[in-house]
Amino acid sequence: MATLKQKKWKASTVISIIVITILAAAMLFPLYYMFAASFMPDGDITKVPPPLFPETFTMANYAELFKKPAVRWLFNSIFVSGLTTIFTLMVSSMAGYAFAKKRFFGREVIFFILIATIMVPKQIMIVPLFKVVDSLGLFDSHWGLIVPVLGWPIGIFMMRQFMSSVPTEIIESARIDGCGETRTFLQIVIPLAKAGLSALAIFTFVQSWNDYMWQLLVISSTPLKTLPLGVAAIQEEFSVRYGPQLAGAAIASLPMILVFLAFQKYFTKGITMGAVKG
Amino acid sequence: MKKTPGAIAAPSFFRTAHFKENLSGYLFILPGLIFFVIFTVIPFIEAFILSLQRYNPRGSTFIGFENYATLFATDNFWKSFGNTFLFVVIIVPVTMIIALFVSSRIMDFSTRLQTVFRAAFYLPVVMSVVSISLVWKVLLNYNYGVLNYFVKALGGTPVNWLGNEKTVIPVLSLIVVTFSLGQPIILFLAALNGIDRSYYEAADVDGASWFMKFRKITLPLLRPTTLYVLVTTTINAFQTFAIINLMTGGGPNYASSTLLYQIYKQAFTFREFGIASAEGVILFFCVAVFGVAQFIFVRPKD
Repeated sequence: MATLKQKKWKASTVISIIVITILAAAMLFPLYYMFAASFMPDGDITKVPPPLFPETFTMANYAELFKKPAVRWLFNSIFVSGLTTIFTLMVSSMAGYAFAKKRFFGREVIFFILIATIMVPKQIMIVPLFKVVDSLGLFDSHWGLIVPVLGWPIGIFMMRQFMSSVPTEIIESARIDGCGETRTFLQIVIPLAKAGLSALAIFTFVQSWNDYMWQLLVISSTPLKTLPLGVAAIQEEFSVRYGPQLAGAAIASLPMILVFLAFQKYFTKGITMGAVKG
Repeated sequence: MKKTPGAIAAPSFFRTAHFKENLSGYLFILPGLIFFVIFTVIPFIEAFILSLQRYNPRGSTFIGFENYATLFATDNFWKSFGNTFLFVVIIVPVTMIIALFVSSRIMDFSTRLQTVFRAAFYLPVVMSVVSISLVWKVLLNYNYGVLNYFVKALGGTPVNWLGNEKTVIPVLSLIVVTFSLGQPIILFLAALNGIDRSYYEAADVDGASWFMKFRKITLPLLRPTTLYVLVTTTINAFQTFAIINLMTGGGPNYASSTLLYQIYKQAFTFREFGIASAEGVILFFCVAVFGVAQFIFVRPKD
């Protein structure tokens, strides 16, 4: 009887491993195909049967892509996501610190309102948000992409969670030693929150890079486009020529894939840190 | 004993030590608060106001619920409304089931294998949605796409995946699932690692099957995480936009158009800010009703 159970358990384990592997392969196949096909000559992609790896290897699709201002778009994306990340870290760590360690009148109420809006999808207010950004003269400017996300409640929430774990005694003893508010924050609190800040940084960077809808609404002129926007525009131009399109797709995602593979640990941390429990 | 009204409202606010502490607290949250008010609170309130106006760049006029009435009399609005829920009804359960299954299974794998699988399911999340749409468009191509090639190889008739009103939403939903799994799996894994192993050991002694353990131990203890994942997945599913805009443009014949897609079209193609805001308000209430319902039904029992 016992051996039978053992066997049954093993069979079910084997089956689930197979199922999970198939699922994982299905997740990764488009990614693989994107890179593989981006090195195929245009004619090969549309061949029947479709080749799954490049029989003739070519860089022509990439050469075609870089006739467009793709490098410019890449730098635009890095600029926008980079600044968004830096400013978000500043704003969120300050607010997170205050919500975790400071006592002030109305703290709970303000924090509650912030948390409540996490549950409100931003897309719902896309029209008034657009009007605000437009009236500030930020339409078709990179600042129109950066500024609206800086009061990001999830970032503040993540930082508050993280700052709560910084021991209050350390902060207090710094104050007793005559450390001012600013110095306590910059020299004591921030170094202790480094791991949390890294997680938030990576999270914000990817989020900003991939915020396709908002980029689409705010940016209209070609030289200011972000990489995803530029690649999406290429799609319209090369309507049936898949080679350059897939090369563009590969370039638009490659930086994020590299960031993810390099910092996987921080992604896990950021996700679990941002989760509102209960 | 008479108290001053100010002392009742804020007993310690005016005493200097507290005042200083208060002030520094406010200064620290000030930058965040300013951005939050300008770019979240004001737009949120204005969404409701705009929805009651006929938009005109030189001064809008108040028209009550006329925008809503116009929408409710339009077939394409109802079609998009229904589609929005169809997306949610497919994406959310499929994501939840796969995420729960995968995470509770890879839990038992070695740490290295766990990392590999976690990465596999998270990679589509970091990819640009533009890339994902482009690749899938090629893969789903009617004439030379890989998918139809396999359909033909298996003896089926090729399907016009994105051009058929019946298949377009299921196909798009499954693509959305591919980049919705990463976050839930990581959250479930973290929660599973927090469960005391002795529960499972006790169950093993009693000869409980994997499914039994999953139902009686794992699921109840995962409840807070499940609730969180459910709510965030639902909110995201309600906001499916990029993939529709890039792959189908809401077509064929509004078959894949959603509320959010209509908001975009009305606002930024037709400049109907009033109509678009009304749709935004409707979408808000849909999300709110779903969210509250999930809180009530899945809330951890104390």
